[in-house]
Amino acid sequence: MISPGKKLRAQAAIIDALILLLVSIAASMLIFNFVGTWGEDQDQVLRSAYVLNYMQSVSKALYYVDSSTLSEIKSDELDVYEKALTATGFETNPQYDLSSPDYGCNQLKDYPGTLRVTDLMKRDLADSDPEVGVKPTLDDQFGNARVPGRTAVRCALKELMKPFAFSGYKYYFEAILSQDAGSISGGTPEALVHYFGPEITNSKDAEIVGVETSSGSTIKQTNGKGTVVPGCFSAVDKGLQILAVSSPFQVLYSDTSGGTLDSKFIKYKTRICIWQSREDV
Amino acid sequence: MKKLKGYIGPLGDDIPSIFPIVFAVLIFTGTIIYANQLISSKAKQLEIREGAVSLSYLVTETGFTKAETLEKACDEKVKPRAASLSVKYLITLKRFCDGIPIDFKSTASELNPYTPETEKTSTFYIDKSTLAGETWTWCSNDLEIPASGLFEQPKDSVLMSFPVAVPCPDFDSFTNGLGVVNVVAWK
Repeated sequence: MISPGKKLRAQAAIIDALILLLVSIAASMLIFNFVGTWGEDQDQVLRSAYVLNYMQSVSKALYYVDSSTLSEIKSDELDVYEKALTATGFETNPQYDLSSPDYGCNQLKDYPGTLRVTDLMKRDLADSDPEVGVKPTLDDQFGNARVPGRTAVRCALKELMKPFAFSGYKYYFEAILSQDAGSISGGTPEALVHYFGPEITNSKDAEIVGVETSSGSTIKQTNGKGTVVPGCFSAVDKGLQILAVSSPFQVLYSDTSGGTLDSKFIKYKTRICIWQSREDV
Repeated sequence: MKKLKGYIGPLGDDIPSIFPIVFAVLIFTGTIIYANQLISSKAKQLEIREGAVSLSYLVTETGFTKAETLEKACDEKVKPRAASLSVKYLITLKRFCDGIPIDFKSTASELNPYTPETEKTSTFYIDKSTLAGETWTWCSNDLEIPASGLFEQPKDSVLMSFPVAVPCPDFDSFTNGLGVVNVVAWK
């Protein structure tokens, strides 16, 4: 005779097997979850190391590339290198056009020989002493003389940043007073050198870059929304994840207004920041 | 003696539980094997990427380079480093005096200014030339690289490109223009 206990033992075996199956499925799911995320952090660090090394190479190349070799660069009909961003969208403006014979890269052919991109930019920044007067602007001017330092960097970065620009990344190049540059609080938004006209960027996000309001003569003190200074500070303020590379950038300032030559080095730094963007989507 | 309906025997009653047990064991062992393969594959990719980053630091130490400088760096620094990392590499130096191409297969001037010789702007084009857009010099520790033509990109390789200043408009000019160093690593 079969006792009720024996009947129950057979049922217990199948329940044990089902529980084993459930545990096995749960364990497999945990393993899949672990394997799916394994190595992601290392991969992210190595990718960031590549981007940072690329941007450091860009910064270094600017010190060696001669301005005259960039004279054939054109806007390639891209709005960010050709038109001015206004509150209502892009507007034609020759001062923003890298293909313009007067304002574009073509003017760099007038600076032959070994005059580097950074030499022109230093000249652009060397027309005032920020510790006693107003900060200079990146405006292609040394006093009243035309010195296309900003345009030279714009032309160089348009080419040098191409691999990232065509992969959905946006960049912004800025000059900022260094931490130890006298009384001005370096590294803060107040230490940022402002642009007068075109900025060195491929972004068209008005929350990050400044907007033009008066035909190429606007000092870009805030972004298009008027909230923060434009550039990397605005990108951070917007919550974007940026990668930035800074380089020391000394500028020789000379003053002869007192009858004697008074020269000193002013410590700036240049900064390139880059972020992934969905602006073009 | 009363015989219960469906009773097979002491062992027969446990037969249905064998199927979920076998299924559970198969799922678990399959998952372990698959996870092991996936982690090995990911670890290999990370090693290759780490190798490419390490080698790239050696060839981008300065912002300016020439063919002789790169060849010297390859012999003295890159080769021993690659041996210690157990990676194969191909490093090419290109002079892009007229602008950096985005698509070496394209004939559109804004994507590749070196038409019609677009293929020669490829990272993997081996023939050495002093013309802008072509490979000025290259180095590798892989003996299977062909002597000329287009080298087929190895499977699971990592490609990193870096801008450098190079002599422009000619290879012996005193002025410097745009160039690119490409680092390809694989195992």
